[in-house]
Amino acid sequence: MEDLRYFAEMASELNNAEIQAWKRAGKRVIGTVCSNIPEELIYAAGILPIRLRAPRLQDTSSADSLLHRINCSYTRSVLELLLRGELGFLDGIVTTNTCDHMLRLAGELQAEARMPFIHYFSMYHALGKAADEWFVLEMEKLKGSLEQAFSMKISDDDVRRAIFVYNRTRRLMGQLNEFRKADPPPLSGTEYFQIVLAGMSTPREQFNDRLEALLPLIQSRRAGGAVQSRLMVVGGGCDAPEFIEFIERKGARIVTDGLCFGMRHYSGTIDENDANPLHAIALRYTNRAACPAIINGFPQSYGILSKLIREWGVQGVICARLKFCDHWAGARKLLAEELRKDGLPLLDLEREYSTTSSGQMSTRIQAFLEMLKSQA
Amino acid sequence: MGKPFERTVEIVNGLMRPMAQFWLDNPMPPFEDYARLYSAIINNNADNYERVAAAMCDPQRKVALFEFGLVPQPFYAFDCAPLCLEFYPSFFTRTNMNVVYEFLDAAEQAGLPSDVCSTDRFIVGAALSDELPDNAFFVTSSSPCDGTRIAYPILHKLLDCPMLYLEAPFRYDREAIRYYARQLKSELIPFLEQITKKPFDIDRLREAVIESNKAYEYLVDIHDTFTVKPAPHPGLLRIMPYGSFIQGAGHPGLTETLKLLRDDAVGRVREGRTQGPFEEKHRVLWVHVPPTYDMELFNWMEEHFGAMVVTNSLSSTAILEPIDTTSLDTMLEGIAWQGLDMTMSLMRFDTEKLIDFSLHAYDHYQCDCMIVTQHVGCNSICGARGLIRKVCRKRDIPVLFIEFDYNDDRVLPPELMRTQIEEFFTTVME
Repeated sequence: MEDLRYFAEMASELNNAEIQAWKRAGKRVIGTVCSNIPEELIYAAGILPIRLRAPRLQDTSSADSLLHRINCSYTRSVLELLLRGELGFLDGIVTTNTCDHMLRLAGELQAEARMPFIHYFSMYHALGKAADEWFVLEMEKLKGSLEQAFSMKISDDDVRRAIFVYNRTRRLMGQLNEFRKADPPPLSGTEYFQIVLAGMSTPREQFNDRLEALLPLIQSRRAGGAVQSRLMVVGGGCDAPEFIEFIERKGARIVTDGLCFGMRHYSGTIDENDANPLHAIALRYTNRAACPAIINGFPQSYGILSKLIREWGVQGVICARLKFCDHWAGARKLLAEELRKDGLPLLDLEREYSTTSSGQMSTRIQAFLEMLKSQA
Repeated sequence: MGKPFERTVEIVNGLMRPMAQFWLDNPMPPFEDYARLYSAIINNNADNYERVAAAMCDPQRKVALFEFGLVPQPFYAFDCAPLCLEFYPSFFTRTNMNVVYEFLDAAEQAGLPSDVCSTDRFIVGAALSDELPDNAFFVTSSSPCDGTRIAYPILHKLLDCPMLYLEAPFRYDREAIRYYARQLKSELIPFLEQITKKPFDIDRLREAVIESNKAYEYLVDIHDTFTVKPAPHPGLLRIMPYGSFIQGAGHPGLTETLKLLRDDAVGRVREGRTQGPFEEKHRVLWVHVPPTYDMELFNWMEEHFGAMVVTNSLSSTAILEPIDTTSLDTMLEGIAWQGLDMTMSLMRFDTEKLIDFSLHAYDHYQCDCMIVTQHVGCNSICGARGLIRKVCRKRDIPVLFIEFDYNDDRVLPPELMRTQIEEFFTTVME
């Protein structure tokens, strides 16, 4: 579909044409490493926040010498980009400590990056009133840090405007997702993920306009025959549409997900009428499906995932977790137990960040799909 | 499946108590001079486990299972028997590795990958094997690491016993400490009141804190003596006081044991007789965890290379003040600070701070080399490797990195670890 090509192109490169145009206009770009970092605040400063990815990067040998082989391949890939000078277009990076891999990546980025702005955003790790309070405190620190580094002021109205733009994205993404309930869905999981990634890598107003124009086209699109299996994919550091395509080529359709490069990034809206906009932002982050790094977040997260499973008619779940990711290892175990109670199969696929296909994965996915077929 | 805590009690009665007595009856050369210290610290450890076993059978009491990020004083204030689960694997690695293998395997069979920290796999395996004490509840913070954050939700499901999660800040300023202290007040105290069915009594907490302050003063004194050249006390005796403090702070038994160690160490310094059985040639900062399965390693290092581990980045730098007992808020702030800034909780520090902290210990204890262990289940210390190496090069600090699993000798057997250490001291340090 011609109109989808734009999104695919934007998703395929980190420093894509839109970002280059933004930079040519004299505007700033800041990279973020985790969906827990409140992008709204960066956008409120008139800076474009983009989620750091390393499309098609295979070799991380320079980063391996600084981090360790047991650090996840996502963090090593981001560091590798920095060491190769491929993040030179950034005006800054916001790091965080979601997990130990991220915590140590933050250390390396702080030491290695020669940028005007490096900020460490300290994440909460347990849900509750304290976390809401902490998140606001950390946002105030980020706001102050941005103001100081770039000699500017971020007003409440700036933040409200950013909230409005981001809410619009989330509503539009919500509408797009609704289409995926159909059988067959009018767009593939691969196409959906290209849109998802484009949203993280282009100026938001522009993305919103493009997406709004795309929606009626998708709605009226006539899909082929019914798909064999409707799947959900969950996991961490999963941002390659090629990986989704690899699964879908076997006859399945990814109809929903629990990815930080997916549902978690776009779910929930922020109260635009809250007198304290930072508090409103905090609530959106703490109320969405919790990252597995949150020690008591699984019940909340599973509540949301199980709703998606029911409403999107999911027949099986693929957990694509990065090797050495303890959090997803634990979440996978808890998830498998809950899904078993609901009679839903789960395929556990341990992968490296850059791995989008392999013979072993192919066999396992094929066997999983055949098992689903035999159960149908 | 045995009864809860059965194997632990067997080891306490069948091994620890006889070992403590053996030290007194047959002091082992060349450590005769330290026999009563070894005996006291083993007995203190055994007492701790016995108190847990006693609380299991007492309907008026509870066992408090807690994690790094907390200290025992609040649990003593509610007459609970605290057990710091992070130390529990080392109880078995020092006494019966087969139990360790069994628990690790149990966790893996239940679906925990083998690359998750062995401490957390051990704890989950112990729960699956019914070894954790019953009549218990859990309190944990979200610090220090990824392994903790996955092990406790799994334990919660397995054991279905009361559990409280506290949100540990990953910053280390006063604001962060107060944030944590507010949770101790608004969440931990009501939780303990509910579980124990006892009202909170500030005087009981103050008693426990005053007791822990005494022990803390002794601990600081003990550590101060290690700045002296040569350092008093052999290998493991230097590490054990700190671990004992985390497990028993607030109990008079611990205070008494630390006083014994302190009086001995201070006496040696005063009398100028800190020289131990082996000549001190090198002063080592051990960064991160030592192998818990090789009890003789430190003595072996001293004997063969004169290499004294005088401090450890996680457990030998006393950086805190005693807790201010003026009010509930000051006490909780002190407890928060101790919980967050002692032992493994330090791993929540960002890399720069973590390295600064280690370098401070390196300088303070006048070390001349570092041994940095890369525990293969710890994404955090492994991820700090590059920056540690860079700093050591800059400061010309000789450093040995050892990759191993501190609870599992199958990953790096003692002989192979000793080979690496031998090569370091006979080449780089010669």
